[in-house]
Amino acid sequence: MSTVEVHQFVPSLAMRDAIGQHTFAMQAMLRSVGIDSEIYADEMKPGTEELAKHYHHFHPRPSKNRLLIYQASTLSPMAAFLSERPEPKVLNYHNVTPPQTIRQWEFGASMATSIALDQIGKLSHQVVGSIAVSKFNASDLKSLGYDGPVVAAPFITHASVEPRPDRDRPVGASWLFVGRIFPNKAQHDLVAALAAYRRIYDSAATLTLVGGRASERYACAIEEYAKRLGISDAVSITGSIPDDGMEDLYRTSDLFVCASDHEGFCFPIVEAMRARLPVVAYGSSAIPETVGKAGFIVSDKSPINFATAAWITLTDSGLRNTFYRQSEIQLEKYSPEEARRQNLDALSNFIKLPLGVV
Amino acid sequence: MNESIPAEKAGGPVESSSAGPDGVQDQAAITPSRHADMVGLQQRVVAEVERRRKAGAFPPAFEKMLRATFEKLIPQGGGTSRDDFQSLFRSTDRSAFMDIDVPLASRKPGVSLAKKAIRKLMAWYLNYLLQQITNFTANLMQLLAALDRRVRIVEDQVAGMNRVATIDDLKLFTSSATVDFALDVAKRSGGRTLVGNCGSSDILSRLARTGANCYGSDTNVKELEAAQRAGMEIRWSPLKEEVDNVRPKSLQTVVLQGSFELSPVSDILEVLKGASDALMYGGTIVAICHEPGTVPQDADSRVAIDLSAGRFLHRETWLNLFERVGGFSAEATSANVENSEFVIVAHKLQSKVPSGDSGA
Repeated sequence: MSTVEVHQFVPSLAMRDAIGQHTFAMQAMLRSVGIDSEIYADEMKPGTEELAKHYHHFHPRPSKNRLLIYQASTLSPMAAFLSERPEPKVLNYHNVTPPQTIRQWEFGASMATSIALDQIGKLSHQVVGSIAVSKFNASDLKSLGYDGPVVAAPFITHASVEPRPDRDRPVGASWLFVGRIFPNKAQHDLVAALAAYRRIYDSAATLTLVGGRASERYACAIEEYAKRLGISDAVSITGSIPDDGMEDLYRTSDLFVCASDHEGFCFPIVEAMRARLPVVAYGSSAIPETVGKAGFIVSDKSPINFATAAWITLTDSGLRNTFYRQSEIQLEKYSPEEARRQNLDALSNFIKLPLGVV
Repeated sequence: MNESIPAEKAGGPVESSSAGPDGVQDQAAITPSRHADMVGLQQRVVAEVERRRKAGAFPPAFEKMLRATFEKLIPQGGGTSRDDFQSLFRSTDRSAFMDIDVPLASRKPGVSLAKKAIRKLMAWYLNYLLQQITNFTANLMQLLAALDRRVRIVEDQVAGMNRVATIDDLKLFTSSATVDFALDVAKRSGGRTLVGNCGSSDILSRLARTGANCYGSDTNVKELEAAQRAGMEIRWSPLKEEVDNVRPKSLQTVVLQGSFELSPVSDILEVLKGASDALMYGGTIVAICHEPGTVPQDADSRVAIDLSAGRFLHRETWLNLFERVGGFSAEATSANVENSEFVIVAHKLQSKVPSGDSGA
C-alpha cells in the first residue's frame, strides 16, 4: 500500500509567527501518525530554509494518495499554483486583515489584502473542505463562499512561561501589547486609553508595544501622538523581541491590553494567559472567543471606558483570580493536545487516517 | 471540558444562544454564559466612569482632544475629501513618468559593463514599449483631471442644494408628546440605551431619572458639559463612530434624534447599519423625525428633498432605509400636528437561521 501524503503550502514561513508555529506543529503531528508530510513555501524567513522547500519544487506528477493543505492568510501566487493542481486541497484559514481597517494608512497593503480575499474566495470551488482556527474565521470563510468550514484550534507551541505572581498595581502599572505595528491593531487607541488612565488613576503607568514596525507611517504617528499627549516617556515601541525577552516582559508587566479592530485569533492573548497576566481587550472580531471568560472584554472603544476597565482589573484581586481560573479553561482549550485532537479530527473528514488515530 | 463555571461577582443572567444569518454563531453566542459575565463587568465600568465624570475627571473636552489630536496625524490620501484626492493625484502624476535609464552601477567587476551592453542592445525594444506606456499614462492623468473638474462642478451644484442646517438652526425642538413616546418605548425595551445626539432634547435626562441604564453621545462640548453637571453618563462622540464602536449586540435601544435626520441619506443609512449591529436581537431603534413640509422652503420635488442633505425625509423614505438595512420590523407613527414630528420605531428581528457550524 502506498504511503498517504499530506503536504502544507505556506506563503511566508517564519519560525516564530503564529502560522509558522501552527504549520510546523501540524507537520510533526502528521508525521507522528505515519503520514508523509512536507512544507512548501514561497518566502522562507531565516532559519526555515532547511525545514521547507520552495513550492516550485513540488512533485510535478500528481498522486492519488496526496492531500494538499493551504495555510491561507495573505496574497500569494501559491493560490493560482494550487488551483491548477489536481490533488484534493484543504484550506486552513488564519484570516486576512480586512482592507478597510488599513486603507487610510497603507493603501498598497489594503489592495493586496483585498486581492487576497478574492483569491481565497475563488479557491472555495476547488477545495474539498476548509478548516478555520476560530469560529470567527469560520464565519469569514462562509462569507467568502466556503461551505461548512470545520473549526479546529491552532497549535500554539511557545515554550512554557513561568506564571507570574499576582499583584495589585495601583501605582506604576505597566501595560503590554504584543503585535506588529499596523493600523488594524489600533495601538493608537491604547495610547489614548493610557492617557486617560494616567490622568485619573495612575500618572506613573506605562505602555510597552512589542512588534515589528510593519507600517512605519503608522508607527511614527503613534510616537507623535504620544508626544502630543505629553506621554511619550510612558510609551515605548520596542520592535520585535526574542522569546526569552518576551517571557521576561510577560512576567514583569501588570496587564495585557488589546484594542485591535481585527484579529483572526490573537496568539499573544493566550501567551499572556500562560504567564498569568490579566487581559483587558476590546471585543472585536475573534477576541471574545480567544479570551473566553478569562479576561475583561471592553464593549466599546472609548479610552475612558478602557482605562476604567484596566483600573478595575488592576485593583481587584478577586476579579483577577476569577480570570486566572477561567484562563485554565482557555489554556486547556488551546493546548497542543487539544489542537492535535481537533486537527486530526478535522483532517479525518478529508483523508483516511491510519487506524486508531482518531 | 466544563464550560458551566459558576457566575462570579461580575456575573449576570445567562443569555440564550443565537445564530447569525450565515449560520455561524455570532460572538454573543459562541459561549453563551461568557457574554453574561461581561454585562456585570460593563456595569461596573459604567458606574465607575459615571462617578469619575461627576467628579469632573473626564470632561468632554478631554475626550474630544484625545480624538482630535490623533485625527490630525491620519494621512491624507486614504479618504474621500478633496485634499485626499489632490494628494493621490499628485503622487500618481509623479509616478506616471517612467525612467528607461536603468542604473548600471555594480560592486562586482565587469558587471557594470555587461549591464551597459544589455541596455544598449535592448534599447530599441524598451523605447518602443515605454513610448506606448507613457502615452497611456499621460492620457490617463488627463482623463483623471477632466473627471475631477466634472466631479467638482457636481459637488458645487449639490452644495448649492444643501441647506446644511442643524435642528437648532431651524429652531425646532422635540415636543413633549414625542419625548414621552420615545421614553415609553425605551423604558419598555429595558437594557442599555444609547441616546444619539443627546444634547438637543431632554430624553436622556428624563430617561436617566427613571434609573434606566442609558448614556448619550454628542459632539457639542457645551451641551455635554451641562449634561455631565446634571449627572448623566455622556460621551463626546460623533453618532456614526459611536454606533460603530459599541460592541455588537450590546444595546437594547438606540434613540436617534437631532440633526441626524438632516444628514445625507448615505450617512443616515450608515448610522442605521451601525445601530443595527450594536443592537441585540429584539432591540429597538427609535428615530425622531420631521415631516419634509415642516420647513416652508421645502416646496421642491420629493426627489430633490429626499436626496439632498439638510432636508427632512418622507416617512416612506425612512421605512425604505430600514428595509435596506434589513432585519427590522419598522413602522412610522402619525405626525404630531403641533410641529409635524413623527417617530419611526424599528424592532430588530430575531435571526431564524439555525446554526450550521460544525466544530471539530
